[in-house]
Amino acid sequence: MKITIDKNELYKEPEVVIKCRAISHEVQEIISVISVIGKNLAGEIDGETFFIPLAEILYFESVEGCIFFYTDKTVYKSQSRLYNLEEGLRDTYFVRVSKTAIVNLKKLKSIKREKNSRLLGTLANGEKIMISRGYVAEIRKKLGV
Amino acid sequence: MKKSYINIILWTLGLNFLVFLFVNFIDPEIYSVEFGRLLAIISIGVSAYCLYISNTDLGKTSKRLLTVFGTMLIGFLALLVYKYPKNIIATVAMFIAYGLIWLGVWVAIEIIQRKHIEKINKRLTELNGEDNDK
Repeated sequence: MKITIDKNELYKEPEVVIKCRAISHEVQEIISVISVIGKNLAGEIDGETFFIPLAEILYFESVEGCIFFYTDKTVYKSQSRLYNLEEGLRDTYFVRVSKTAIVNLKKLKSIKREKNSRLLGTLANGEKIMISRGYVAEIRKKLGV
Repeated sequence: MKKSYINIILWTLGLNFLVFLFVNFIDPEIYSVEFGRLLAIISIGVSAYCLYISNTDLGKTSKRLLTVFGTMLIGFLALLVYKYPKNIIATVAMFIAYGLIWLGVWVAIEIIQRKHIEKINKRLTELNGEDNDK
């Protein structure tokens, strides 16, 4: 892969142009990584607002109409809706895994089948998350397999 | 009344109607008072079966498939017992055939799913295995 940097003081903000024959795994990964750089999401804990880098978020979950997102050790409440998040995170490694959750595939270690035919994902921090089979196609598409 | 129970009742009524239509299609002469009674018994059986399925820890699609196939099984068995009460072999043969078809479908789904998960896990390891191990 060739990297060219065009430095010019006239440019207002950095711009990334990818030249490729097709969207390969490598290209997809570049897009996903670049898409989350510098992006933060507002989350609340006891009324206090924090801005959390997207790359640190493990997953989003809807619990009784409220959206929570989880980092390695902390849980934040978000004001967004799950479908808005899904839409906004389309070009990233975040993917819907059930009606109530969106997972960061960069933080997903593995998927395992349970005895009752359900799928269980293991996250980087060891936490388990239920994955609906209906969303496996979307995961495969995002991973390019 | 719980939404799930209303669903079960609707499924039961709908599926029994399908069984009724199917049986009537196979043999219109079977449509009789006795058969009506038999359908009532099937309804109770199917309701019990649906209730059992709804309490299991299965996915939504599995429950629907099991409900459809279970209802068909109960319907077929009821038909066989009603039409050929002394022909045990036919009943057993039907039961085995049904079981084999169901087993075939289940094995095929299992194999496909396993392959998909293997591919996903392989890709996840490529993608962030090293990062996550840190």
